[in-house]
Amino acid sequence: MKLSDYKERDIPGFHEPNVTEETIIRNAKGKIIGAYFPETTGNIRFLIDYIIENCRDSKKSFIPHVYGDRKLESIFFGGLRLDGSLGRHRCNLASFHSYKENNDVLKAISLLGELGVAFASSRSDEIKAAFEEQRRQQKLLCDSSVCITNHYTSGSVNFNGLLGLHYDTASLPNVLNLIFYKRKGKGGNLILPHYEMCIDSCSYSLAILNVKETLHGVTAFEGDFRDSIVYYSVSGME
Amino acid sequence: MAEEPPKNPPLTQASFINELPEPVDTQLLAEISKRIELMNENYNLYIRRNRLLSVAAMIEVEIKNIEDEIKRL
Repeated sequence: MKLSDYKERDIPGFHEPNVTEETIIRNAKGKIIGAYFPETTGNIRFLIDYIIENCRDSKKSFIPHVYGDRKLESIFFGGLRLDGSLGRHRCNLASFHSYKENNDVLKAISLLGELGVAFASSRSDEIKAAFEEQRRQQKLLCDSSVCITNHYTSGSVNFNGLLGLHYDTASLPNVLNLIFYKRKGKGGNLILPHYEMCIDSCSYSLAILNVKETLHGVTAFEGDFRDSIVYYSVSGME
Repeated sequence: MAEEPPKNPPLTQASFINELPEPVDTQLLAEISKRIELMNENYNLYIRRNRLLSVAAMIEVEIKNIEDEIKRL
């Protein structure tokens, strides 16, 4: 099956990755909508291990999701949007912030977000400019006291997060999300059907992606675990 | 009445900092420490505010329903 045959809500099967080298992804108009970095830095590798291992033990904050027959457990951090009545949106903080014992792992999460942006910015002036604009947008639109970093309001640590194909419609526009991976097994790659891309979600790699404008999902996975740490910005954080 | 959180809680260094394999800008670390500790201190304030906003929204809806009924009379 060709990747471009997939539609929104489909649950992808197994696919070998066809993106394994450092890549910048642009849309038809030449705008950067994503990138992939198979290698990052020692600090990023250390923080991915630290965060995933510390969160793995923190079962009490897990929130289960269901997508097709795939089940995913996540820990959310940073701002959450409350859909209030009478059309009002109010921001809230993820409950992971309520436990003092999570302070260190939250600092590691915030640091990883900042280091991810700095790393991707160091690889491309265009990415750097996009992140500077993202920072300005966040400063204008979001309550800084719920933002996990200078570029992201929120995020999640996902355990076996094998999502079907979707757009993240609640994302702020033009935001490039960060996605860090740790995997032991085969598959669980990031796919972008409209770009005919299957990106190798190998351990310690980093993908950046405009998830509001780009259809994306995860291929089938077989193995011990496929975890990710994702940073995103949601609307309604005024 | 619940006690107000301190405006500037004392910053504590995260335990993992000394284990990082590469140096990190100390100003960035201090900024992150401050950000997270303030967020965590603010958690209960957000919960209290949002609980009250929910009650306020329910009352507003109830008032609007009554006003609609008055208009129909």
